[in-house]
Amino acid sequence: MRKGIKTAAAAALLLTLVSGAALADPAGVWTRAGKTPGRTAVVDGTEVVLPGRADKKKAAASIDPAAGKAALRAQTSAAEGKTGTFTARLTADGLNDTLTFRYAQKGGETTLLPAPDLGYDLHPLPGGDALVEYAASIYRLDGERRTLSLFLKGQTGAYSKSVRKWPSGKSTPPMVVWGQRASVSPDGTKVLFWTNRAVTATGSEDGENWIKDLNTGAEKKVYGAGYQVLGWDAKNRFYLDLGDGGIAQVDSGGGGAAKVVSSYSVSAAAGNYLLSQISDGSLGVRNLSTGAARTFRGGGLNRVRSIAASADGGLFAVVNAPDRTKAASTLLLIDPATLEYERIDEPAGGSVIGVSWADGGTLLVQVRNRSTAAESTYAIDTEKEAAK
Amino acid sequence: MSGRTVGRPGSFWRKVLLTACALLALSAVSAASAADYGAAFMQQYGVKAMIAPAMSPGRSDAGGLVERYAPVASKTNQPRNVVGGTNPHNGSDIAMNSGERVYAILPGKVTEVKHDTSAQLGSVIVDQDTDGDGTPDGVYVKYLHIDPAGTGSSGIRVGDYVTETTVIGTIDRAKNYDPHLHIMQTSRSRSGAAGAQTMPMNLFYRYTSPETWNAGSDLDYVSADWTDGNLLYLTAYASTDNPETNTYDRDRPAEIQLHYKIGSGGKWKMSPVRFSLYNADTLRYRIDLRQATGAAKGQTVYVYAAVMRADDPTFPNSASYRHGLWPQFYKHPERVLYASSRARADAAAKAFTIR
Repeated sequence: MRKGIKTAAAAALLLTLVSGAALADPAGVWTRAGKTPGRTAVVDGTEVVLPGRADKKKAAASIDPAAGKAALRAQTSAAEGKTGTFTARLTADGLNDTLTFRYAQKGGETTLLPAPDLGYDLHPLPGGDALVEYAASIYRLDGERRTLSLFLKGQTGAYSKSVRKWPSGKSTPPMVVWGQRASVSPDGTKVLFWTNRAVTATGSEDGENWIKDLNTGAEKKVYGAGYQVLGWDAKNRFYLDLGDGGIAQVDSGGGGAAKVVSSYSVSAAAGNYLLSQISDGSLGVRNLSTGAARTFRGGGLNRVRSIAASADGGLFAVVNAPDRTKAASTLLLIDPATLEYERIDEPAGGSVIGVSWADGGTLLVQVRNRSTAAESTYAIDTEKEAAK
Repeated sequence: MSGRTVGRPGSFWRKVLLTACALLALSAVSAASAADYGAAFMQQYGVKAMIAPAMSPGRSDAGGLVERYAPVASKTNQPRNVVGGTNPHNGSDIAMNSGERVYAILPGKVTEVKHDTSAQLGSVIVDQDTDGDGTPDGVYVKYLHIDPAGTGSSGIRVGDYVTETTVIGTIDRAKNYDPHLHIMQTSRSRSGAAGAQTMPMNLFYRYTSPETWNAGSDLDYVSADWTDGNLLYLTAYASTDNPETNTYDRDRPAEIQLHYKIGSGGKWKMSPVRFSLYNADTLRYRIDLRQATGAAKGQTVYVYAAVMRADDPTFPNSASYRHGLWPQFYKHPERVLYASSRARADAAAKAFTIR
C-alpha cells in the first residue's frame, strides 16, 4: 500500500522537479520541508538528534581546563518528547559495571536511544528489549526491568569466551571480539553479528559473520570475513559490503552466499532492491526477488557519495556529486521499481551532509550552511510533495 | 599565556591561527634542520589551533551518520615496544575491524591515494575542509592501513571532494599488522614530502566525552596543556590494548619529568620535582613551575617534559624506548636532549614567565 503511494510520489515529483533543477529551489521543496536545527537521523527506526558541530563546540567550551572534565556532553537526544537516562548493572562475564542508557519518552511510550557518546552501540529488539555492544561482546537489555544479561553463548563448538590463545602459541593472547555489529533481521527472528573468535583456532583476525536464532538460541557462522551490513531483504537474506571484494548476498538460514556485486561500490539495500555504483554515471539496480538487473542513468548522475534506502526499499535517496572534485551535491530520489526519479539541488548556500528515511516516506536531509557552518535537518514529505 | 583557543574555532581565529601554524611549521623545519636532529615528525607548540569538531572515522550505521568510537590502541607520540618502525608512535591506532568502513572525519579534498601491499598497506590523505565552506583548509589527515575505496577511474582518487559520509576505504585484512586504522594529522599533502611533520590529533576530538575518547586525549600521549599562574597542567597516559584482560586501557605514566633552564643563558637540568596527578578520571597532571625550577618571580624558564611510560602487558620492562616529549615530539628523541646538544633542548622548549 505504502509502496504504491511512494512510487506515485516519486513519479509525480519527477514531473514537477526535474525540469527546473538548475534553480536553487525550483519547486519549493526546501521551503515546504520542515526544518530543525542540528543533525537528525533515523537510526534503527528511531528518530534521534545526533550531536552536531554546535553541540560539540559547546561541549569543548565547557571543559574545565584544570580538571579536563566537560560540564556539557555532545550527546544524542530525542527528536520528539523528553530525553531521560537510567542505569543498569552488568554482572556477567566477570564484569561489574554500571551502564547508563538514554531514552526518549513521548505519550507514555519509552524508546531507547543510541548513544555513541556513552561508549557503546545499542540495537532495539522486537518487544522493547535492546542489544548492547559492550566490552567486546553483546548483552541483552530488558527495557522494562532495566536489567542486563548475557545474550551470546559463552561457548560455541571449539571456541570458548574464557579461553584466548593463539594457535601458534604466542606468549600474549589475541584480542578477541566475541560479538559486535549486531543487526536484527526484518522478521525479528535472527540477529547477525560479527566476531573474530576464530582467531584462537585459525590465527586470522579478519573475523566472521554469525547468526543467532532468537527462537532456538542457536548460534552459527554463516559467512567469513566482511564487516559492514548494508541491509536485509524480504527473504531474510543480508547483504555484506566487502569493500573491494564487492557485495555478498547471504542466506541467514542456510548460509548460502552469492556475490551480487563484484567490486567496490557505493551501495544500499532494502526490501526488494539493491542499488550500487561501480562506475561514475551509472547505478546498478538489482531486484533481489527476481535477480533482474538494470542500470539507472539520468538526473545528472555522476559520482555517488552515499545512498540511503527507505525501510521498505520503495525509494532510494542518492547523494550525487555532479563534479566529483567539487563540494556541491544533488539529491536524486529513485524509485527502483520503475527507475523514475526526481532531482533536487541543494538548498541555497547549503551542503548536503547525509540522508536517512523516517516512516511514512519522509526523507531527513542533513545540511550544513557553507557560510556559517550551522547544521540543520530538512524533513521532506515525499507523499505530500507528490500531491503538489 | 598558553595560547589556548579550544572551543573558539570561529573563522577569524581559524584564519589567524592557520597563518600562525604555517609560520610555526616553517620555524619547526628550520629548528629541526639547525639541530641536525632526526625530526621526521614533530609536534610544534601552537598547532593546537587546528581544532575542528570532527566525526569519528568509524560509524555504526550503513548511512555513515552515527559515530562509533572504537577504542584507541596506541596514541600519537606514545613510546612503544617495537623493533622497527617509528618510536614514539607517529599517529594514533584506532581498533577498528577488518572490513570496517573508514569515513572522512570532516569534508575535504583527497590529495593522495596509495594502493599498495607494502608494510604500511594502503592510505588516503584528505585536505580537510574544517569549516565546511567547500574549500579545503590545509589541514591534512592521513588514513593508513586501509584499502582505499575502489581502484582506477571508478575508485577514490586525488582531487575528489569527499563529505563526512563518504566512505574513503575499508580497514585492510590482517597482514603485517592486526587490522586497525592508523590516523594522523600531517603537515603535507603527500607522504614523504620534504618537511612533512606529524601534528596532534586530539583537537579534532576535544569535544568527546570522557566515556569515549577523553576529550580527544586518547589520541595523543601528551595533550591539553594549560597554565594557571605558575601551575602547568598536562594530560598524559598511554592508550593500549591489554591482551591479558581483553580490554583497552588508559595507563598512567611511570613519571613525568620536567627539564628546564632559567633564562636564555641558563644551564639545562632536570627538576627533582615530578608532575603530580591532579585528576584521576581524566589523567591530568600538574607541576608548579616556580617550585620545580626554583626560579624567581619575573624570570623566564624554558621547559620541556619527558613522559615515561610505565610497564604494561604490551610494554614490558625490556622495552628500550620509554619516553615521549612535550611540547615537541621527534622521531627517536633522546630523553635528555641537552646531553649532546643544548640547542636541541632549546628548540624543544616552551618559555614561561614565573609569577
